[in-house]
Amino acid sequence: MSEQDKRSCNLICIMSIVFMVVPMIADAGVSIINAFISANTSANIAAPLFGFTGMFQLTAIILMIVARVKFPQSVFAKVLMWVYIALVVLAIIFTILAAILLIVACSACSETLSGCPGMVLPIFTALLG
Amino acid sequence: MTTTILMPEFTVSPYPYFFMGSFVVALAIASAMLRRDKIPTQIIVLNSMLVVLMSLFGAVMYGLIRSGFSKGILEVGFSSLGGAIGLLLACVIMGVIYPEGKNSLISAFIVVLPLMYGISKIGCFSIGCCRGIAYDGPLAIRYHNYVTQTGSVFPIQIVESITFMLIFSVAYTMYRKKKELITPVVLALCSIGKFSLDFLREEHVGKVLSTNQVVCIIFLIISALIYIIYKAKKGDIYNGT
Repeated sequence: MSEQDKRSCNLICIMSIVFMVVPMIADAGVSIINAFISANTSANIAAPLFGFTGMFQLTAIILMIVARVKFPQSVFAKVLMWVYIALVVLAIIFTILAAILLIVACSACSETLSGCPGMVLPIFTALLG
Repeated sequence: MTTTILMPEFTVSPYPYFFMGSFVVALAIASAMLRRDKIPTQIIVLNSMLVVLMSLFGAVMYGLIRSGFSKGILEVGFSSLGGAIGLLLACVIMGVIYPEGKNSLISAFIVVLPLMYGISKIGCFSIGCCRGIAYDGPLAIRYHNYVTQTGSVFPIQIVESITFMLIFSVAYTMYRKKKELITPVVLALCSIGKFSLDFLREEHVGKVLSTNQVVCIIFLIISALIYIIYKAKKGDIYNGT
């Protein structure tokens, strides 16, 4: 891999990390600000924030794929790919665990809630968030 | 004599199993198809990751955009049409990144798209979301669980499921026979199927055209454009074949 390729690949990987981390910080920041301002406003901000976070993080994954496909010899891109795969797998595992706990907890409290379709939604919002 | 089917209240909602099952089955079949087309394993894994994430994101975002961001994430639920848009975008993006496998990546997921929809609709049927218009003819369904208490409704989810499974069988046959133009044909079949059956859904009542139907028309136009571009490139369109 030439020096020029190495530099291009590193730039793409760094951009990918920025796109992955910035929305996480923004998300945490907005949550803290929300908690201080009012709990009622959080519902209005949550939906656009979800869109912003999701788009940035998907861009991060797309940039990682670009780096991995265009520069297959790059170690940086390879490590980044495994980190992202691990993050996605962990998110899926925690989401399923959270869903099971939620279903068990809700079933214990109220039998009527156990067939609720809304029960599954927190699984995927947690996964995507 | 008419028969009304009373849907039981499930102890644990079967919806997530059908929802996740649709992804597992679709990814397994698409991966096998891509392996057959000699696409490297790494590309298949990366594409699968992108497809899952973009489908889920699209499924939620479609609902949020349709509500003008007035509803919360938990209120809008998942939209199959949004999921399909996310899935197709993921395949197109992957096709741009890896142009050598563009046709295989897009056609593999276009083939499994109706199957995913067909499986997830059984989940909808089990809990009563995306239900049909009021109806008391043969095979009418009545839900009585905590969330959905309805009168007799048309079993649209099952009709949609069967329709899309049939579209999948047509698409898979086309793929096995290495037919050209799988993408525009399957996209058009799915759009026509979804557009027509949307008239029988409860949320369509009181509307001339639903948002889903408008999106279906856009998909139909896209499939027609793909067909025209393909034919023009081959020069067939000028020969009238």
